[in-house]
Amino acid sequence: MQVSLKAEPRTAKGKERVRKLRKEGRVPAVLYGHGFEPQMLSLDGHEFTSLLRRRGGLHGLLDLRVEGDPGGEHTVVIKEVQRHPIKDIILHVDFQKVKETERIHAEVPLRYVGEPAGVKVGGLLQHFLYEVKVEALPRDLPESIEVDISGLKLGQTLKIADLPQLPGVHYVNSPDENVVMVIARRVKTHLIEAEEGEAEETAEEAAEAPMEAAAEEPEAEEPTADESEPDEAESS
Amino acid sequence: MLMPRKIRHRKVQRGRLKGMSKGGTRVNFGDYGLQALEPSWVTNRQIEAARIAITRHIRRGGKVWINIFPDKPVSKKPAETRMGSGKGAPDKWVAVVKPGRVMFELSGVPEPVAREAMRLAAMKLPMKCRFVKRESWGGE
Repeated sequence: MQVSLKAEPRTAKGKERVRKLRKEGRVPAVLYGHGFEPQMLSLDGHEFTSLLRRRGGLHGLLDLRVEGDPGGEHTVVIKEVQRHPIKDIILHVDFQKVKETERIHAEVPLRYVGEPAGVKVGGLLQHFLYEVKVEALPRDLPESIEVDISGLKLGQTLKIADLPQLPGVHYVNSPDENVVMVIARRVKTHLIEAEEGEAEETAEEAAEAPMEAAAEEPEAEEPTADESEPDEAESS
Repeated sequence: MLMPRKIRHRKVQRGRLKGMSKGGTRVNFGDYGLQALEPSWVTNRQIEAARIAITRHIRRGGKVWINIFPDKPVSKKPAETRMGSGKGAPDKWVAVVKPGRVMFELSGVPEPVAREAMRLAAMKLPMKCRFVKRESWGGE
């Protein structure tokens, strides 16, 4: 089901006026499309944020209704959302008007299903892509693409070419591009061994402490030496 | 320690730290990140200390990304030297970090572990930082 969103035409242009608009709780936006004159809009900030939260992202088609405009019903996709680097504020939104007969480029989220076999034996799942670029007609555009990764073994990679082929959907990313991979966990054996060794030593020392009270001073400096060792190895 | 392999100029001007970070403000590679909230220079020693703090805490597994690189040389005059006689010798390398920059990213560990690792890393850095997660509108 397509979600609808209300917008108002905007005349305020330039950073000062747009800042004032944002202070009033509105978000400046723009609507553009093939063969369509760009139109400046403003949205209710709270409504738009809650819509994004509800939908869980920026994907899929929306019905945009521009108030006070007789022909103001548009089917759109969200092309870009500009956000403040620190504050959780939406600064600007780009909408692209879509035509039913024209293929569009859009980013579709990947939903991974299952636990890879390689992860069960101690591997680590590394994601390269969380979204894929697809080209499709608006009606064929999927909300998300489900990928079954339960068969991935240690060292195996899932590529774009391995993604499920959906009718009318063409992947824009290169077929060789990695999507997800199960890598071996990097166990820093030298670090663990050193720490285990230390633990054993300290346990032994604790046991022998009553007998050998003194002459243990050189041992006390060992941990710092051990600490510097793995760091050098890691940085190389 | 991180430093450029080759450089065009041995000494550069100090510059100013104005405004917000232009890019790299979202978690792109991993699942969790450490975001700068103040502008600052971060030396290669600080980056290394933070990296070690993270890798020590996560121990087995996990993957760490460092999204900043110290490519700016900072010079310093020797102690008890009179003013003049030109610019001092290169002393350290720094990364110019502005507010909003996600400096470190982490994946493959549970969130409480990542949070603690990033807290430890933030203690090695010269600015206020915060823990951030991969962008999700789902209201996590």
